[in-house]
Amino acid sequence: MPETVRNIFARQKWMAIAVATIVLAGILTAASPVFLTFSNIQSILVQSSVTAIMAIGMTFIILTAGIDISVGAILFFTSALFAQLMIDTESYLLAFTAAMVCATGLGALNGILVVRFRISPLITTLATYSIYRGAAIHLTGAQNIPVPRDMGFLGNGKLLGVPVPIIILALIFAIGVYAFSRTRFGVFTRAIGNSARSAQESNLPVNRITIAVYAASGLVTGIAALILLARVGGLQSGIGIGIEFTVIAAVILGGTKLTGGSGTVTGSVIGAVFLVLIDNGLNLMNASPYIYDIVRGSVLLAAVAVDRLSAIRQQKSVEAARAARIRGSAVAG
Amino acid sequence: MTSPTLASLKTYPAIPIIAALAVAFSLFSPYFLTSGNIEAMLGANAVVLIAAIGMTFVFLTGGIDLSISTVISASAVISGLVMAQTDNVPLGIGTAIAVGTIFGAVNGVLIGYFKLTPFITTMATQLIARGIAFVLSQGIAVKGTPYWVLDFGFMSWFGIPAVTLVGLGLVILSAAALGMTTWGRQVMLVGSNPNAARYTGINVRFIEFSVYLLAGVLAGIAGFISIANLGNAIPGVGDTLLLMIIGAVVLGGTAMTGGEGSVERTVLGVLLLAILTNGLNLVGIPFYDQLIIQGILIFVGAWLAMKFSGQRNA
Amino acid sequence: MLDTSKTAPPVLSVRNLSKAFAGKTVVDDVSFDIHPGETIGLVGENGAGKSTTKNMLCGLLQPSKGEILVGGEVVPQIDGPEHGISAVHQELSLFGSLTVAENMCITDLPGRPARVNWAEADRIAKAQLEFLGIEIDTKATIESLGAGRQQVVEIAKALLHADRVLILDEPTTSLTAIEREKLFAIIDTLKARGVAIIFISHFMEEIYRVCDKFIVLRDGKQVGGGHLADVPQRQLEEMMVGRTLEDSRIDLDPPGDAEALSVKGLTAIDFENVDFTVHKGEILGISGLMGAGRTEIAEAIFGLRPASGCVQVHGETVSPVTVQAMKDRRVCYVPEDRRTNGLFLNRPVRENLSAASILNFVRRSLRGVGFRGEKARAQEEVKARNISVPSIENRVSDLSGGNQQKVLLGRWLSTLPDILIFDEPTKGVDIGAKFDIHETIAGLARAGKAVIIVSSDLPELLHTTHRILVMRKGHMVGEFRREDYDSVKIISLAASAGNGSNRNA
Repeated sequence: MPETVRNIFARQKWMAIAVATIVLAGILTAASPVFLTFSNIQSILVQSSVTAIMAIGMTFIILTAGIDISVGAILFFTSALFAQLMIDTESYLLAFTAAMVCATGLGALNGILVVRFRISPLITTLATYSIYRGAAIHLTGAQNIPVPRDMGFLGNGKLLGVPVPIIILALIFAIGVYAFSRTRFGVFTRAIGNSARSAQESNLPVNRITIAVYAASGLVTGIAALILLARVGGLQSGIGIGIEFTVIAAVILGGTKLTGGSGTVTGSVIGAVFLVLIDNGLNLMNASPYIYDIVRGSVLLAAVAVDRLSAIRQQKSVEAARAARIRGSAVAG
Repeated sequence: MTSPTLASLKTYPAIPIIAALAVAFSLFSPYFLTSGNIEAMLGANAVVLIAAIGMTFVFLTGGIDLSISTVISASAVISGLVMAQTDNVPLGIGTAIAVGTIFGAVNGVLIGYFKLTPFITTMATQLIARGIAFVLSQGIAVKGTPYWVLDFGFMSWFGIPAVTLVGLGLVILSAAALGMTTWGRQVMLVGSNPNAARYTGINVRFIEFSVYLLAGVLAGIAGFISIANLGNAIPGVGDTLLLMIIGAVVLGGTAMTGGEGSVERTVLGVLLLAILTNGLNLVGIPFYDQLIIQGILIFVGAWLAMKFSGQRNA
Repeated sequence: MLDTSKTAPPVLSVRNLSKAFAGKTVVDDVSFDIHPGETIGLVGENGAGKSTTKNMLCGLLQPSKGEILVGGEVVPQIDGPEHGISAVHQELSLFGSLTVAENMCITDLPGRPARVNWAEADRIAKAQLEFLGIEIDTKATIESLGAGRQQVVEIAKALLHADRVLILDEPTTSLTAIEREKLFAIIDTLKARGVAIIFISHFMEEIYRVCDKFIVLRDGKQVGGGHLADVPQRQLEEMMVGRTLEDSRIDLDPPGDAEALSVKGLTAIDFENVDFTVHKGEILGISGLMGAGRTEIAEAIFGLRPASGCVQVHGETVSPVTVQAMKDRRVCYVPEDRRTNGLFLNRPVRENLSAASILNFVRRSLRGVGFRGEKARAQEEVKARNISVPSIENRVSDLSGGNQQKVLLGRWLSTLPDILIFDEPTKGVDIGAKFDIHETIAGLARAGKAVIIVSSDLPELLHTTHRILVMRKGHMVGEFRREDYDSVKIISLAASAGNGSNRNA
C-alpha cells in the first residue's frame, strides 16, 4: 500500500508545487482571516489568470526543450492591434479575429524561424521580442489607447457568478490538459523534448510539432492579452514588460524541466497561482512592491537548486545499480 | 585558405556593415560626422560596452548571464546611496565593484560549482538584483551624486568622453587577459569542449566560476559609469540594456555556443549598434522602428556567425 | 509449435551482400538464409563488419552490392515494418520520461490523432509484455526502469511493428546475470513462436546458449558459418581471430626492472580490485570487451574518476589522485574518443597541441602571461609527428582522422611524460598513420618510458605489447606474456565465463 501512495506522489510532477502552494495558503490563512474566503480565492485566481493562461502555452514550448522570451511582446502586439482596430472600426468581431490570427501568426513565425534557421530558440525569440515590440509600438504611435467600456466585462465581469477570466482560464486549462494527455500532439511534444535523436529515429513530425507549440503559445497569449486589456481598461506603454520571466518561472516552479520532455500543464497553472500567492503574502506584510522581485527570484533559485539535488540523488542510484552489477558478476564468473 | 582580406572579414564580419552604415548616415544627415555627435554617441554607449565585455566572456564558455543588466542597476543604486551619504567617490566606486562582485560570485558558484543551468540561474539573480535596486531606491532616482562624478560624466579628451576611455581601458585589459594569459586560453578551450578541457587538466569549474565573476565585476563598474552618464543612479537603468548587450556580442560575432569569439569583436558589435541607434535617431527614425531593425539585425548576425563558424546551432 | 525445420522457406536471405564507404569495403560478400524459429549468431571482433551488416539488414543502410530476399522475393529496399524486420540497437531508441505504454505505441498510436485511446495502448503493451513473459508496469516511466527492463521494452516495441525477424545487437552489455537469463527465456519464447532471430554478440557462452547456427565475420568477410552443434568453441574463436600473429610484429626491447606505475586494489563503480604494475621500458596492453571497465580504469588512474585503492608512481603513493597530480608526476592519458574528450575541434592545431602543457611551449617573463614561442614549438611538434596540415592555425576539425589522432598524441607527448596511457590509440585511423603511431609508441618504450595501451583491437596489442592483461566485466581475469600470446585464448578469456561452460571443449 505505501508503495502505491509513493508511486502516485512520484508520478504527478505537480505534487511538489501543489504542496508548496497549500502550505503557503495555510500560512497566509493563519496570518489573515480574510484569506480563505470565497471572494478572496476568486480574486487570486483572477489575478493569476493572465500568467496562468500564458504558462499553459509556454509549458508545451519548454516541453520540447525550447523557449520563447518574446511572449511579452506578442502580448503587447496583440493588445495594440486590438485596441487600435477597436478605435478604427469599432467592430469587436474584426478586432478579435485579427488579434487572434495575429497572435497565432507571431507565435508560428517564432516556430518557423527556429525550425528553418536552427539558431537557438533563445536568440531567435530575443530577436523577435525586439521586432514584435517595436512593431507594436509603431502600430500605436507610442500612445496609450483606451478600450470601450463594455469590454470591461471580459476582465471584470461575471458569468453565472464566476468571474469571466476564471472561466476562460478553466476552458484553456481543460483544453491544455486534454491536448497534453489525450492527443498525439501531447505525446510527441514530450518525446521530442526528451530525446531529439530518438524522435528522429522514430520518424516523429518534429518540425511540425515545434512550429505548432510556438503557434499555440501565441494563440493563448493573444487571449491573455485581451483579458489583460479588459482588466486594465486600455493599452498602456508598460504592458507586458517582464511578463515572459514570470511565465517561465511559473512553468519551472510547476515542475517542468527546462531541458524538456518532462512536466505538466497542471503544474504550470499551480505555479502561476503560487506566484500570485507570494505577491499576496507580501502585500499582507505591507512589503514594498519592489520586494516582489527579490522574493520571486529567490524562490526560483531555491526551486532550481532542489531540482538539481534530486537529479544528483537519482544519478547516484543509477551508479549504485551499475556497481552492483559488477560486484554481482564476480560470483557469476 | 583564402586571401587575408577575406580571412579578416570572417573574423570581424561587423566591419563592412559599420563602414556601410557610417557612409550611409553621413550622407543622410549633416550632423552625423560632427565631433559633438560622435562624442555623445561614444559616451552614451560606454555602459553597454563595459557590460558587453563581461557578457562576451560568459558566451565564450557557452553560457549566458541575464543578470548583467540589473546588476548594473543594483550597483548603481547602492553606490549612489553610499556616495550620497558619504560624498566619498572612491568609496562609491569600490561599492559598485563590490556589489557586482557579489552577484558575479553567486552566479559563478551556482553555475560553475553547483552546475545549475545558466539561463534559469541568471534569470533568478536578475530578478533579485532588480528588486534590490528598486527597494533601496524606492523606485526613484537616487539624489545626491557628488559633483566630481557629474563632472566626470562631461569630461572628455581629444573628443573621446572619459567614460568611454574607461571602457576602452577595460577593453584593452580584458582583451589582453583573454588573448595573452593562460586563464584566457583556458576560457576558450573550456568553451570549445569542456570535456576535453577536463581531460587536459584544466579546472573547468573554476574557469566557469571566474567568467561569471568577471561579468559581475564589469557590471558593477558599468553601474558606476551609468551614474556619471545620467547624473543619478537610476534603478531602472539596466532594464532596457539586456537586449543591447546581447545584441552587441552576437552582432560582433561571438557565438553563444562557446569557444569562438573575442573582446575585439564585441567592441565592433557595440560600435555597430551605437552607430545604428545614433544614425537612426538623427535621421528621425523613431525608437520603436529601431527596435524592429535591431531585432532583425541580431537574428541575421546570429545566423551569419553560425554559418561562418560552421557550428550546428548558434 | 511451428515447424522450424529447414523445409519451410527462409524468411530472410542475403546473397553477396557488400558495403563500401568512400572506397573502403567494410562488408564483403556475405550470404546466408534464416528460417522462421531459427537463431543465427553473428560473431566477429570489433570492426569485423557486424554493425554494418546489421544496418543493411534492418534497412538503415543500402547495400553497395548484393541482394536481399524477403520470403523468397528480392526487395530493392528493406522497409522494417513492411517486411517484418526489426532491430534492437546497442543505443536504445526510447524516451526516458515517457511511460512504457507510450514508448511502445508512439509510432502507431491507437485511436485518432486528437483522441488517443490510452486504454487500448495499455492493453497492447501489456499483451506484448505478457507474450514475452515479462511483467513490467506499463505506466512506469522508462527512466525508472533498470537497463534490463528498458531493453525488454525496446524488444517488445520492436516486435510490435515487425515480428518475423528480430535483430539483437550486443543485447547483454548492460544486463545483470539475472536479466540476461530473462532475456534468454524471452528469446526461447520467440523461437517457439516462429520468430527468426539474428543475435550479435561477443560472448561465446551466449552464442552457444541462444543460437542454432552461426556466421563468423573477419575484416568484413564471411569466414565461416554453420551449425553450432558441429563446432567446438575454440574453433569458433579461431575463425574470429585468424592466425595473423606472425606477421608485422614490432621489434621491442626487453623492459627494465624499475617499477613505473603500480595499481593495487583499485575499485570503482565499473571495476573491482584491479592490481597490476608497469615497468620502465615496458608496454602493457589491457584487452577486453566493451563494458569490461578498461577505459574506466585508465581514467581512474589519471584522476578523472573517483576510485578507492592505491596508485603508485615510481614507488610513491599518489594521494589524492588528481589530473594535476598525475601530470606533475609525468603521467599522461590520451583518451579514447578524440572528438568528445580529446580535441578542441573549432580551435587551431596550435592550441590543441599546447593544451596540456602550455609552459612547455612558451617563454614567459611574467607568470601566466604571454605565448611567445608557441608557434615555433607547435611547428616543431607538427613536424615530429608527421602531421599533414597546411598551417598550425587551421582548425583541427579540418584534419583527417589520422592527423587528428596525431595532434592528440603530440599534445600529450609535449608534456614530456615518463608514463603514458593510451586508450584506443589507432581507432578510426588509416594504415599509414597507424604504423606511425605504433612506431612512436615502440620508440617511447625503447627510450625507457612505461606505456599502457587500452585497446579492443587485439592484433594491435599482440604486435606492440610485452604483456597483455585481460578484463572481463570489471575484473582482471588473465595475464599473458609476449612469448605466450595466444589470440584465441585471450578472446576466450575476455568473452566467456571460464572453461566450465564450453561445449565441445
